[in-house]
Amino acid sequence: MGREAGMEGYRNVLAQRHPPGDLAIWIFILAELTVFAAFFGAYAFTRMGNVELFDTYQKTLDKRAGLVNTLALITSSYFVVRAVAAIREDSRRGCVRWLMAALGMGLLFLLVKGSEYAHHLGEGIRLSTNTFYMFYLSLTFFHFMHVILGMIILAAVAVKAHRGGYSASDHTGIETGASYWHMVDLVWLILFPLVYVMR
Amino acid sequence: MKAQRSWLRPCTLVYLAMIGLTLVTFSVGAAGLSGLGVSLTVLASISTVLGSANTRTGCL
Repeated sequence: MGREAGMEGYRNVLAQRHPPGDLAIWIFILAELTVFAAFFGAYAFTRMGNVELFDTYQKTLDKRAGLVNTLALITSSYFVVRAVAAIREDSRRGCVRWLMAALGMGLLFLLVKGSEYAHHLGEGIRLSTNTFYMFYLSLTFFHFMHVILGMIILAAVAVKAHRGGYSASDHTGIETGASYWHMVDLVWLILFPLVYVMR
Repeated sequence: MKAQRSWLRPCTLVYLAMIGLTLVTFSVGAAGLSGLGVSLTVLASISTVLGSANTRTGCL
């Protein structure tokens, strides 16, 4: 009996040591972060040899749009955290509401970024315009696609939560979606200062 | 009996810190400040907040 209780406690400790969500998503996140790290490294390395060009064309970017997008993603991550907290308290409705709010912030990000792209394309800017725009467009669009994927995951999780698929004792799916969304947010938190701010 | 819970959760504090750091980052860019020191300071601040958030609150 005592040994069983001890084993239960040990299992709990081990469970707490594991990262939240499914282990597979963490392997996926690690792979994604590796790719982004390579991108960031290539950007920084190329910039070292073209500082003037990068500084000149960085000024053409809308820093306020970058700020709005950063605030939107940080806020969405906060909402996702609250969604996880809600389901841990067995509040299914609260969880769905927070997830919907997070999706709203994700949509705001897409709208702002989309308007930026429309502005650039309207000015005739393409990947081949120069090295800076090649990096700016490819890096941000790669991240843009991850935001869309993250929103699809969050929407699927919200639908399942709405149908009662999660509870206080079983909510690994929500933690998995939340972990991925935080990764998308984290990448933007590096991308924003790197591309919009650093000189 | 229901436990009294502070309305300001640890994750809310982290969120507010992140907003503050974002505004600092934007101000650095808007003011046209440059240099590796400024850049690294901003990046290090963000990393510190994220790291402490993860270890102290389990929010992220």
